[in-house]
Amino acid sequence: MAIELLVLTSAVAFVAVGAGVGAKLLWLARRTRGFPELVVGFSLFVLAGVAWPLLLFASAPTPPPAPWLRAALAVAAAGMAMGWAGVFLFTWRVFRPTHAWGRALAVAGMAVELAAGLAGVIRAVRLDDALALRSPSPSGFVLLLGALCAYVWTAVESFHYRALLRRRVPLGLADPLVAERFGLWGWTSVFAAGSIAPATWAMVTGGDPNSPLSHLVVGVCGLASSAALYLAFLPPAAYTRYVRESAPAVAPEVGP
Amino acid sequence: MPDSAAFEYACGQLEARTSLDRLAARGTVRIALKQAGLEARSITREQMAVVLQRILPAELTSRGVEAVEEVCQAILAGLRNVASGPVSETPDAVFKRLGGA
Repeated sequence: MAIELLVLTSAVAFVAVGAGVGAKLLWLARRTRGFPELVVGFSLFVLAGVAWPLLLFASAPTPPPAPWLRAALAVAAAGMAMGWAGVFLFTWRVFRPTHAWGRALAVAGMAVELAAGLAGVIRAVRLDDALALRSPSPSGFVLLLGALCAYVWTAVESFHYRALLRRRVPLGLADPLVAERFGLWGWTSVFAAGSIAPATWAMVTGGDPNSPLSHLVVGVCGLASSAALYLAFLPPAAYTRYVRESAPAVAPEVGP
Repeated sequence: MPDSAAFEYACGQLEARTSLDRLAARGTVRIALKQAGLEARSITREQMAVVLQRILPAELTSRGVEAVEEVCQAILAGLRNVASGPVSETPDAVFKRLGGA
């Protein structure tokens, strides 16, 4: 019971924080016309505000009526595909815009996600037995695998960039709050990957994705991911003050 | 991706004004940039100025370069005339905007 409560709290937190941050970034994009905020805002909003609530609805203990179940899973599949494709696009455009390998990885990742999402939509609409839609599928597996790749790539780039900025802070060349935002975005990705890892692993091994251990991992990672996302993009004044005050002071000039 | 104009200028001047050859000059600047968390392909004129003032002098001294202060000052003075060139948006500029910082 405690674990079920944790999973529910985690899901609600992710929906609230993800949709809230997504909406904030979309609002920012409306003002700045910036491409990165548009992409990441859309991704967060569609994943947390659309796909996740529909997945929760579709996986409720009492299955919803077949037409509703089909509609929910079709829209959720499309939402997840677009959201995770957006993560690939954001990471490429922000961190590796001029690298051919970055473009290749992003294009391949987006293609895989969108193809798997389309397959998920078709399955939701055409599979005869509506209740069988609640079982794992190959398209769902590919979708999750692609998402894991997107999160790992994003985490690696974010932590690498945080390391660069941390070295710039004592020279007065970087804002410590921005440096820590890269770290928080990296942790958001790590924990988001952790929250979908049990389902992916269960598909590989044929195990139970609803075991207490899986639920514990999903619950803890979901909460941690939401907390990191919140601190990154909706930082409370106390957190901002703490980061700035604990940052190394700008070193005095030496040399000529 | 080619290295930035500021990086090329600093390396060229270091090679011309010291006993370091091309490879040593570029390597020394790259080490200084790494210490500062900067990259040769994206470093700006302003960032290079900070590296010249705060990090490069110690690196040059450790390599036995003479008149380090004069060398760095001369490069710094010439750096002001280096064209900034078109700079694509950096990740930190994006994340600064995303957080409203």
